[in-house]
Amino acid sequence: MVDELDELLTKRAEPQARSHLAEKIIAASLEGRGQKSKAGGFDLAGWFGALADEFLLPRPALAMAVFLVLGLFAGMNIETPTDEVGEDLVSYLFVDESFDTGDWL
Amino acid sequence: MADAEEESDERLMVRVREQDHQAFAMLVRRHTDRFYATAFRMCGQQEEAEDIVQEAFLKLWDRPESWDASKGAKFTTWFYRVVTNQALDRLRKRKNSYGTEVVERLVDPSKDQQREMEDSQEQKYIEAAIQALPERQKAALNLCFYEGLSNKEAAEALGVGIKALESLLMRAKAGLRDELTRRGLIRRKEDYG
Repeated sequence: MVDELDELLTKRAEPQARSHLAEKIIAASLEGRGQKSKAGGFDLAGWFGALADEFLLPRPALAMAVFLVLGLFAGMNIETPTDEVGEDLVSYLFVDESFDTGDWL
Repeated sequence: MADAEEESDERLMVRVREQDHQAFAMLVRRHTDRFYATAFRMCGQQEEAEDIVQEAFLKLWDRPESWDASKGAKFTTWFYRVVTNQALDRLRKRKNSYGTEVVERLVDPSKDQQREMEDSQEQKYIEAAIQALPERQKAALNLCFYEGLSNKEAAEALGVGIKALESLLMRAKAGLRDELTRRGLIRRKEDYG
C-alpha cells in the first residue's frame, strides 16, 4: 500500500531543465582559462594590475568615511604652528608706532 | 564520439584534473539538468539555482583536485554534496527561501481552469510545506525522495551517518504529514474506516 504522503509528494512538479545553462557554464569556464593562460608568462601590465589590486579597498565608501572622521578628529586635536600664531595674534600684529622711521616714509 | 559519451564520470574527472576542457564540457552537459533540479528543489528560485550550479562547476574546473578519487566516492555523490552545501549556505543567508515563482511555473495550460487551479493550489501547499522544512531535513528528503539516492549515498552527500540521515528523513516526513493534514490534503487517522 502506497503511503498517502508519498503519493502526495510525487505530485511535486519537476523543475524545468534550463537548456542554455550548460553552455553558459562552459563559456564561463573558458573565460577563466583565458585569464589563467595570460598569467602563465610574465606580463608587465598584468603585474602592475596585480599590484594595484593589492591596494583595492574592499569597502571604499566605508574606508573614506573612516578616514574623513579620523582626519577631522586628528585635525582638531593636533596643535599646528598656525595655532601658536593665533594664540599670540595680538603681539604678532602689534606695530610699534613709537619707532622712529626717519624721513624716508 | 560514442565512446566519449560513455566515458565514466570518474574517468572524465581524471582528464579534468589534467586541464582537459573537453572532458569538463562533457561532464557539464551530462549533469547540469540533474544538479539544476537539485539546487532548484533546495532554494525554489530559478536564478539562484542556476548560480549555485554554475558556481559549483566553475569551482570544480578551478580546483579539480578537490575531488579525491582515492576516497572511492562516485563523482555524482560527491557533487551532490558540493551543490547541496552551496544551496544550504545560500539558504542560511536568505531565510525567506520560498517565493511565488514555483507556483506560477507549475501551471499546465492544457488543463481546464478549475482543475488547473486545484492542482496549482495543491502543489503550492506541497511546495510550501517542503520549503518550510528545516534545511537539512529538506536536503535529506530531496536527495532520497526526488534525486533517488540510496540512504548511504545521501548520507555521504550530506556528510552524516546513515542513522542521522534516517532520523532527518523521519522528521521531515512527520513535519510534512502534520502540515499537509492541517491543510486537508491528507486524511486524519480518525477519518479512516
